[in-house]
Amino acid sequence: MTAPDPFRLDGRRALITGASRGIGCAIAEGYAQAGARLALAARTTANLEQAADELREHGAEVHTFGADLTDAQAPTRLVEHAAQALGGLDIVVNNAGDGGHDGLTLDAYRRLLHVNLRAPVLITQAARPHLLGSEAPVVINVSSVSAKLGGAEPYGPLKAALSSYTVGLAREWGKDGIRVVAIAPGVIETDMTASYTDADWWTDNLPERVALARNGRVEEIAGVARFLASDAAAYITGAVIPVDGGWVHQY
Amino acid sequence: MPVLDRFRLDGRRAFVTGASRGIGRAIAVALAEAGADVAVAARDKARLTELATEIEALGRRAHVVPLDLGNLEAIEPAIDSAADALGGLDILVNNAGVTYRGGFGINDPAEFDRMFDINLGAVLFGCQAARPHLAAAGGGVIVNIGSIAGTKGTGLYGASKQGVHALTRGFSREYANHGIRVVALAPGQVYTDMGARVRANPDEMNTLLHHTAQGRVADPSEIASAVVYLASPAAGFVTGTTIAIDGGRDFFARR
Repeated sequence: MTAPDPFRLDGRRALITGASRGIGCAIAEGYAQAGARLALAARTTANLEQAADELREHGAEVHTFGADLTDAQAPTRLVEHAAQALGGLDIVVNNAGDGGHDGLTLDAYRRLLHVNLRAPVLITQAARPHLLGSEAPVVINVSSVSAKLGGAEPYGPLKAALSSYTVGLAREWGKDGIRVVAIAPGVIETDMTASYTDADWWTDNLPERVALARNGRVEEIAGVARFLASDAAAYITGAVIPVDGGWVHQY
Repeated sequence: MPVLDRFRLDGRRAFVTGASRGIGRAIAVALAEAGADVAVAARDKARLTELATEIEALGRRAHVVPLDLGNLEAIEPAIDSAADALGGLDILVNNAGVTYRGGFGINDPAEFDRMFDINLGAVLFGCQAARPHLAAAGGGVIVNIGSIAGTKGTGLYGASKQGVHALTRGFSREYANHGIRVVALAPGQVYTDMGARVRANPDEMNTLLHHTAQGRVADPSEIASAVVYLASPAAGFVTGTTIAIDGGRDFFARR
């Protein structure tokens, strides 16, 4: 068999936010294994450098950028720097998010609005001219099962907003050949969910909440993110893919 | 109790945001017609005063609340003072909303923030501020006005409205043990000032009507009627859901 493997990402230029830890870090690793060239962003660069060094040891090209996505100017700047370093962009992964475990306060609302929604929108629009120059452009937004479950705090509603944006933008940019998709992870074991993934109230109730009766692992999001970025997913756009172990209740 | 009596709101006390015009005004009047006293909130004090006169002519009490819903800090004090003036609160209608000229983009972060603050933030903080009052009244109802634009992914305006649908689900769980129901409506195109820009554009309007089974826009009273139902004991088992009132918006609507 000599046909190129449609699941490979050789030479593709990918920007991933929130890449120092958790899901973002795993996506970066998955993309590197698939042959992509990477621009990784995170708020704190110490962890990011460590993650990048590990990927570089395996031969990956990795550029790192510190970016505070609560800042309205940071997203556009990040995209310009990333595109410059990579000589363009093919894949944008808006992964950085803030779970906001401090309840419904004005500060939390504003921070979450900016990190979970405004930043992805600004990054995506700044990336558009670069994506138009790509052979296989795609935007992947990391939403959440919370978009479907809702919430009495800003997180779930803002993830629902991000999913709505994903669907609409796919329609808007489809004629340009730019795919726009989202992944809606369930409960994945990361620092963000560490406060409850081991707690009895959560683990005891897992079997009735999640069909697979376990938490997810970051690699299980990274695999879907790799597929969605690849030519194997060339006819998928405007889709919000649940990767949640099956929140499929009869109630 | 005869069925129509279960739709009555006699003695209930309501707070309606964005009440000076359009859907909000129709809701305020409809609630008063159904028997409720109504606090009306919006920026335009003159229009609210005129509306208050209309509500009082129906034999109900009205309370005027000049309020910019984009000023999120001001919402709790406004709801507290209205509850004081009316002697409590049973119904909150989060109706205030603004359109967004930016489509899917952000040219001015402040403009984006303000749209989201009014369309989503004000609903979050309105629910939070109303909870103790509704709970103290022995339960109550929150009706949020979302939009079919949310479900369809129509720009960042639609995104904000999809957020409203999601928070409606979340608050319905959170507040159920206080006897509070939380529901949302997702209107399609309604004949209001806010929809004037779309109506003035024949191409956009024709496309919209082509994808609406009934082939027309709604009258604000058709949204207000649903609010009266949802706020009333007739809807006692309805919570957490978003009801579309869109004349049958459907890609294949007109054959």
